[in-house]
Amino acid sequence: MTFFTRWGQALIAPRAAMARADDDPLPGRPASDLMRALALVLVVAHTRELVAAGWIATRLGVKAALPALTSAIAATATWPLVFTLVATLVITTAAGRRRALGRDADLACVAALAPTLVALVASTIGKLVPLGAVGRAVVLAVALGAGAVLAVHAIVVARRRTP
Amino acid sequence: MIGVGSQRAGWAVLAIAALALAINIVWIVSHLDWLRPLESGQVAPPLALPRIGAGGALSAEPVTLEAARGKVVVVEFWATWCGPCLQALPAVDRAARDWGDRVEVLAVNVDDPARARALFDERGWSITLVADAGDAAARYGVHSLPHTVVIDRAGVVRLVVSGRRAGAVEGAVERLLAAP
Repeated sequence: MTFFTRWGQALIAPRAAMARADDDPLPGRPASDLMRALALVLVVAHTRELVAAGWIATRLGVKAALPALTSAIAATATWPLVFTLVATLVITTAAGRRRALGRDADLACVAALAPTLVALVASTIGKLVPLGAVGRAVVLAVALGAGAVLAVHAIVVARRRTP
Repeated sequence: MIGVGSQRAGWAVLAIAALALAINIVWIVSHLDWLRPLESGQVAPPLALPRIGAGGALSAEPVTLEAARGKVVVVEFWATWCGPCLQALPAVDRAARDWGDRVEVLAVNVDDPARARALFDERGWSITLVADAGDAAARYGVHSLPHTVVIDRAGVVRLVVSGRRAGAVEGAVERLLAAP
C-alpha cells in the first residue's frame, strides 16, 4: 500500500482509513504520511518560493534566504499542524476511557490529510487566479469542514477501540 | 483491505500534485525576472500602485515610479499586523517631512487598505499610502516585513533592506541627496 493510496483512502473511505491507522502495527506511520504530504505540498505548490529562496541564497547568502524559506514552510505547514494539534485534543477527549494519546494523534494525522489536499488544490488555483479574501475564507472553510468530517470518523473509531 | 477506489483516489492526488508542479514550473520559466533577487545596481521594476483613499477606497489613477523620476524614491512595504513596520513608519514619516519634495516615499500596504488608511489618519502620517493591488511585493522580492527599497533619481535600486534597518535607509537617502 503506497503513501498515495493511504492518502486516497483517507479521502474516499475515511472510516476504513481510520480503522487501519488505529490498528496499524507500526504506530506513527500516519504522522510520517502527514510529514510526507506536507513535504510534497511544499515542493509542488511552493516551487517558486523555493526557487526564489535558492536564488537569494546563491546571490546574497543563506541568511538572506531564510525569510523566503521560512515563509514557504509556514505557508505549507501552519494550518495542517494547527489542525492536527486541535484534532488530537478533540479526538482524545471524545474517546473517553478508550483514549490513547499516541493513537489519537495518529488518527488526527489521517484527518489532516484532507485539509492538506484542499490546501494543495487551493494553492494551485491561487497561482492561476487570485483568490481574494472571500476565496481564502471559502478555502479555509472547506479545508476545516473536510478535516472535521474525518475527525468525526476518527472519534467513532477511537471510541470503539479495544481497551 | 484496500479498494480500487482508494487506489484511484491516490492516483488522483498524485495527478493533482503533478499538475501543481507543472503549473509552477511553467510560471517560473516565464517569470524568471520576478524571482531574481533585487539587488543594488539593478533597474527598479516598474510600479503602478493605487492610492488608498478614505475608507480604503483605491484610486483609479496609480502612483508610478516613472512619475517620480528625478526624485529619490523610498518604497516601504508594510502591513497593519506587522509590529516592526509600525515601529519603523513614524521615523520614515518624520524623515520624509525633512526631505520634502526631493524624496518620494511610498508606503505600500500589503494587507488591508481600509485599516491602513484608518491607521495613517489616526497617527497623522503624511507619506503617500498606496496598496499592493497586484504583484508589487512579488516583483520586489518581499518575503518578510518591513521591506524597504531605496531607488535613486535615475530609477536604479541603491539599497534593499528587510527587517530592522537602524538608520540604513535614512543614511542611503542622505547620500543620494548629497550626490550631484
